[in-house]
Amino acid sequence: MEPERWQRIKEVVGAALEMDPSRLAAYLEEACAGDPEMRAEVESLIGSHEDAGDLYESPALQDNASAVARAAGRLLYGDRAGPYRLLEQVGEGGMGTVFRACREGDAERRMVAVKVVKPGLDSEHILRRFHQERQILSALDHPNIARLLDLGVTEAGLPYFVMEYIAGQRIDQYCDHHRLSPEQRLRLFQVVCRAVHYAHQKRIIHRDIKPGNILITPRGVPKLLDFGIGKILDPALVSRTYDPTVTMWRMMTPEYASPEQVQGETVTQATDVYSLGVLLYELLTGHRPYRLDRRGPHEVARAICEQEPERPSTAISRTETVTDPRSSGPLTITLESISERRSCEPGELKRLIAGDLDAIVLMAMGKRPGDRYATAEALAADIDRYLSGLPAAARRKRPGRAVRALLLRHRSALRLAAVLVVIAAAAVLAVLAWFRMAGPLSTAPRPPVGILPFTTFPGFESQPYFSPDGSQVVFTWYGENNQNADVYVQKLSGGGLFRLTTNPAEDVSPTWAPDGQRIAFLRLSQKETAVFVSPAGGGIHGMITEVFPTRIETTGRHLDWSSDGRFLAVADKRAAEEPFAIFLVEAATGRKQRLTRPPANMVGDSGPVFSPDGRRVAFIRALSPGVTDIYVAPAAGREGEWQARRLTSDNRSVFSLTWTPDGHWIVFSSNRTGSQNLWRVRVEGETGSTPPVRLPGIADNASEPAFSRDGRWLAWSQVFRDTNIWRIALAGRRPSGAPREAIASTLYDSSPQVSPDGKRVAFRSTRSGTNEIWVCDSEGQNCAQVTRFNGPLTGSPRWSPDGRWIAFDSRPEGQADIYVVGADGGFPRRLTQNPSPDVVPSWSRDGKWVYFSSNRDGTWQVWKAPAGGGGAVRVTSGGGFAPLESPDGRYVYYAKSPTLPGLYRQALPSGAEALVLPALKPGFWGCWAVARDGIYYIDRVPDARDNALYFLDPSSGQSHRVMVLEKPPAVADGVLALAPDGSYALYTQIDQAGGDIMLAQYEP
Amino acid sequence: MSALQPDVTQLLVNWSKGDRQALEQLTPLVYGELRRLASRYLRRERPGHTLQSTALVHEAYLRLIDQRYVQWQNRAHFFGIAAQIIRRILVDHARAHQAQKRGADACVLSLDEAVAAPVKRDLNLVALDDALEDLARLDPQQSRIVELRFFTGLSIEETAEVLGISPATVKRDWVVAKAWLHRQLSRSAAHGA
Repeated sequence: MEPERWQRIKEVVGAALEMDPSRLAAYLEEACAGDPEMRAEVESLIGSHEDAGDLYESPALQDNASAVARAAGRLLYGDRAGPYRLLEQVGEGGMGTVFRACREGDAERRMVAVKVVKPGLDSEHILRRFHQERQILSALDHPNIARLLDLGVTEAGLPYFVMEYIAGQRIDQYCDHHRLSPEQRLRLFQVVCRAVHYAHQKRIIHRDIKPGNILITPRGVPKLLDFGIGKILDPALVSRTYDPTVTMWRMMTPEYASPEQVQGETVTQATDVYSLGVLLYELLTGHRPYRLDRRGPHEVARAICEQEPERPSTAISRTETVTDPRSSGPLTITLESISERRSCEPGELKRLIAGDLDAIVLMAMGKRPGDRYATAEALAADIDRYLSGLPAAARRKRPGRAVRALLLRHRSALRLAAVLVVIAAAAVLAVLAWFRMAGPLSTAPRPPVGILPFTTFPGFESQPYFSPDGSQVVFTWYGENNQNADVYVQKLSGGGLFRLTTNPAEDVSPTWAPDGQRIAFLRLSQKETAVFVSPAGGGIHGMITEVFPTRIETTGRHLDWSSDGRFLAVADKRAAEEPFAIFLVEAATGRKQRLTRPPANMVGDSGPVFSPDGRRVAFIRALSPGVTDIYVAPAAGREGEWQARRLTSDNRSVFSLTWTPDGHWIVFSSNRTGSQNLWRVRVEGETGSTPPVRLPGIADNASEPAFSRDGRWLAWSQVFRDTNIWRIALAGRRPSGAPREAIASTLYDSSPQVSPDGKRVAFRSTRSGTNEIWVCDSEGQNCAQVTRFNGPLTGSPRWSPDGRWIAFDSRPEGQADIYVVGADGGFPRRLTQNPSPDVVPSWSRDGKWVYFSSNRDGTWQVWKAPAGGGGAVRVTSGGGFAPLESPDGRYVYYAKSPTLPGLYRQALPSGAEALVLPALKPGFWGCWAVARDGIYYIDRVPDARDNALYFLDPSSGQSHRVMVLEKPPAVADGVLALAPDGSYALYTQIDQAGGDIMLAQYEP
Repeated sequence: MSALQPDVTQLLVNWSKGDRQALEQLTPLVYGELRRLASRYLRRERPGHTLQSTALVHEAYLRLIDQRYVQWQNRAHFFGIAAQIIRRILVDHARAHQAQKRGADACVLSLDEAVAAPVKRDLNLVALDDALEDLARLDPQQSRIVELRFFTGLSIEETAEVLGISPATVKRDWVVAKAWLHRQLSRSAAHGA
């Protein structure tokens, strides 16, 4: 377009937009007379204007302040290092400054980390050493080690290293942040040890292992940074004149340095073992190993060489004030704060660490290299022994203090004795191991040797399944924009992504036929759910049969081939009122035969998987939603149900099953202890005789496990979801100011409720590792955990009118019931005892009753029970869910059910029901709050694409939009809450969510 | 008060007289000051607080410029530079993040929870930047208005002052520019760009 023409169009559009709409048509007629093209252009722009709304009204800088701040060192170092464009500073250490960067001209704009060495080091020397080491470094290829990619010199003459970019959190901060238990910390630490061992086998020593060099990705994968750089930048080799201690001080974090490093002696693998010991010390205790009055270089050096580190189990009782790395302010560490970050009681933590763990840490930190574990693998293996309940080798090896003092003069004799002790211990272990092999616990899965991401696309990838030859994985992906599920195939070696389906319906739950030629999947359209089969290389998809939709097909596994390829197992039912059962569908004919017959009145069976020998099918039987157990039945004949055997009996949620290739275990995902994790349970043996245990070495938030046939690989989907509670100030039914994060963690925070005095907020959070009720002040500070169920879903907190109590729902025995707990904690009191689910409570304004939702009559209704305990009374008759009394106590408001639209109210005490808000979406039962003068609610209207907060004025029946929500709301229990005086609202939004497929590699 | 100040002032004066080199020297200085101030804001404020971009630029101006030597128009020049720099920082940042994993729109939920099929309200800053380049060819003034309003957060009146035009013109140009940009972005999104 010519600029002149644009000026004219601009003028017309500008005038049109300021004009009274009634005059618009006439104006356009006149202004665009004889120029239909211009008219079309003008109208299109007017349309865009309406469409844009206030999308551009919030300045971009406000949302991105941190980006500006972190653009840091670019000023100092310039915009680039060789061909790499420096984007933002991500770290600063003794040796250099680290930037996130990308290579110029790289169309995919892959991120790398560039570490620019600080001025003052001998760059010529560094470069020469790098070229000497290059060959060795390029051989370092391990999923838990960040690769060193390149090196060069900036224009200013500063050497730089280019490494794989890892977006992650330091291991110590990650552990504290996620409140990992000592066992979880040990498992993470073992992965680090095994990565170090791998490098040692390639004769590469790290030399600078410390928390800052170990990052944990958001998916829980440890990554070691700077492998190989240590040698290139070794002070002894780089600086021409140096005082080892002082240089060390400058270059390293001295407290992780080994005695031999401090003394400038030869560095070996044992040096890294020592640093690993210090790391483990800190991960377990939260303290550094040496008590020092001053932390000058020489004091620390002396302590490292001479001082005996305090026992970890003693050190945890220390009270110490340190500098908080985040705020730079003082931070006091106490036994209580340490224990809390480890999800432990103080006494429990002490007991856990005392003994074997003390011995393991102190052995790794031996003063002389020969005192330590010979390899990092030996250290990891000793932790394995500890975790499986066997005595640690370290404990046998380490002599008591008196003996040690005596034998110091006879060191060689001691060595020999120690060796003998080790041999003896090894013999005992071997015998023990033999017994275990012979016993029923023969094939206990070992931790994986490595973990790596398989897909990292935007949005959700899920439901992985291996091809029979193990070279490819088929999975579901929702596409770049999270729009529609389709089936994709990717090679295990990476690359070669192939899209199998493109249908606008959701194609989910793919499974590979044993002949490798076909892939079956479920297609969910508006009308029907059907089983489809497609050639594995693409081609025409044929429908085999229709099935009754379970509505959970998009997560978990819902389709499996029999090992002879003749049948597909799937959940189905013949009539709506029947429970789901497992059916076998003949792939060639579509003929179905029933395999299981679950009792009536339950949700039924789903998630069938054939055993590797094809003779049994494992499946999930659900009593009610979320209350499930694992069963195994023979795969053949009508006898299935008679012989169905229950493997678990704790009524916790089970989402997805798979068999280990040896057929002895079922590996499954379950949220039995809070977050979604992988567990295993023994197939043989009596039900409940071997309770499920966590699959070792797999991070939290894992689901949908699948093994390759040779057992060398396990794939699963790793889901992350960060929801936070936001606060918006309100004035006269309008927002006043911008929303801000009120209660935030990297975990799941939701269901806020403001206390009657407006000073506190109760909410649900997984920050302790499991779903619990928490209370904090109205600024989101001073958070305190109120419940400690340590497992079952616990939520929907509601304050009593006097602010002393909180009612909530929980499921410690499987079925949900209503509980009441003191707002400051204490032992929760169970208010309802009914075998059907009782959920989402609230209080009557006089505090005498607790309302709740229950389907004890077969339909969801509002009930109420006396707050002091006693029989419950039904309140509604035509359906009711999530009740809440109005502030004036004249009405009780409620939705009809978890899945029906509309907000209703019933007058008290007359019982007359009225539909108040037809617009409330199905499932949005937690998305409304009653104010004195109306109702706030969250909605998405068809012509505006955004979720927004609305206000309904009941006197006029009119709604207006209060504000647009930046991100989707977490539609769950109680998304929206209002301060009692109406001055602000709290809402829960999903700030980040996604899913990736991960792989764990096992030793063959 | 650092020794830098007369330099910035002088550079600004030179630049307003048409010295192109002065701009090149100014940019990193302004950049650095913005960055420093931004980090200070971030440290001082609790997480979740929004940064007032206008306040930031004002403060940078006050710190960098010796008020005795510059006339008021130079303040406008300063804002002009700052707006360009902020745009560049934000677009780089967005571009970098595009390559990374993004917060997804939907999520897998347990049976106990249900979710609205959400559509994220998200401006693609990279596409916006490209569209803005196109707009600059059509109407440079409109492009600068967007830079000042959207990237820097200036009000209609402040933008008018910086550009030396009437607030009514700014308002009209801004409204039409938004419509034009939005249409460009919708089109490029539709073509999968």
